[in-house]
Amino acid sequence: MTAYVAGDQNAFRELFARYAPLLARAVRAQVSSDDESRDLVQQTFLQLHRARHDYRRGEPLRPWLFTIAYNLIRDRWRAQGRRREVPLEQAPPPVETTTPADTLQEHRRAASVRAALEALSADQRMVIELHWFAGVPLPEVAATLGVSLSAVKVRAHRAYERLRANLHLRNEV
Amino acid sequence: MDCAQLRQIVLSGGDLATVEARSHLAECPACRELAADGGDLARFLASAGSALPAPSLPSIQDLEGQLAGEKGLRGRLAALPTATRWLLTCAVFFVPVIVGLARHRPDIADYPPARMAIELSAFIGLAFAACWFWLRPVYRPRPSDRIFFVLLGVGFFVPWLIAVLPPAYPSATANALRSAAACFFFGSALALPIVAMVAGLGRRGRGLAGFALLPAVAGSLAGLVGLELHCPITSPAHLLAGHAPIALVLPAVWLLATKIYWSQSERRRT
Repeated sequence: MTAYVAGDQNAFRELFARYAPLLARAVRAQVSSDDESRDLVQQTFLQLHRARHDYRRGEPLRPWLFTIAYNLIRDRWRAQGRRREVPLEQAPPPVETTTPADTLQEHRRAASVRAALEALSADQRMVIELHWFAGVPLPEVAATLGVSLSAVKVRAHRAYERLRANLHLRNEV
Repeated sequence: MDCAQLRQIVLSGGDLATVEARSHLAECPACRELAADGGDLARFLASAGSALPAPSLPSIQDLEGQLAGEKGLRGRLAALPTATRWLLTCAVFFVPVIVGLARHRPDIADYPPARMAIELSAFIGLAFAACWFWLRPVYRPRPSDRIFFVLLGVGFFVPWLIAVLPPAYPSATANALRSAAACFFFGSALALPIVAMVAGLGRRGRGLAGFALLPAVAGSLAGLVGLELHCPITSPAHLLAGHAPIALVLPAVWLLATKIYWSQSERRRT
């Protein structure tokens, strides 16, 4: 980031390569389409570009990126007038394919995970996505969401309870 | 022991009966839930990440194209460090104060100083609160939307409240309508440079409905500061017709202009 602030364009490409996949995974779980997710990731990097002169050497960059993305997602929810929460009963069914057994099991697992995550509230889903799939430690998740660590733990606890119940329903755990 | 260490123990099937693990589990409900039933949920989540398909990424070329468009004046202003953006905002806020003082009301020495201070503080405080929202870097967690809407509501309401307060002393004017119109245009003229500058210093794009109003709210309140220092007419009718409407008309016009701008730039994008 320091190199990028100094004007090195290749450093920006490196930042993009390093963080865009993580961001895309966290963002995609919060929005309804791939297009929307791509747009939000693009807007996140645009905001990072605008804020680059605020960056202080040595500061961790990941919380910046996730906070920007989370703020943009909140704006998007607001613009859409609701949070994207789908009751488990309405979540998409597991994908049925004629691929080999292990691939089929992968598909089923992915579909179950997606369905179980969809059934969480947006705040709970964000905590799980950031912590489990983007590898962000809970204190950093708290900083990203602008809430206390204990609030994040409560969200995680409720999310785990709900996930457990939902996944038990589907005989996945 | 922290949550990450406990998670590792759960995933590796380690011993959860140690003093440290038990003490952490006693105080952390999330880890307790994760470790329940032999840690089956933790193992499922750990393996689930790889099962989820990787979402597609935006094209780096498109992104670089968009960044190339950030080289104009607007892009340069928005990219200034936040401390500099605040300095510029404070500097531009001096304009209505200086103009108001240079052409100050003839009764400035007679006007009750406490009342003047309260009215000016209300306008300035609300204007700075609007700027705080507008200039707040997007990498900081955003305050609740409720606070934002309360601020907008108060920003619109306070000028009308001040206008209907009983006057400090009666004042007469020869042509009420003309003087109200003159004040309206004078206050709006003071507000416009502030609206333009504050808007340019913001980094946010579209997004939260009503957010675009903030520069106009800040500017109109700053214009009212200039008017407060300049206009000696204290009658509520004059204030209601010539002063308070600035806080309504300017944001409304600004909102319309930004909506047109956004719809045009959206059309260009698609």
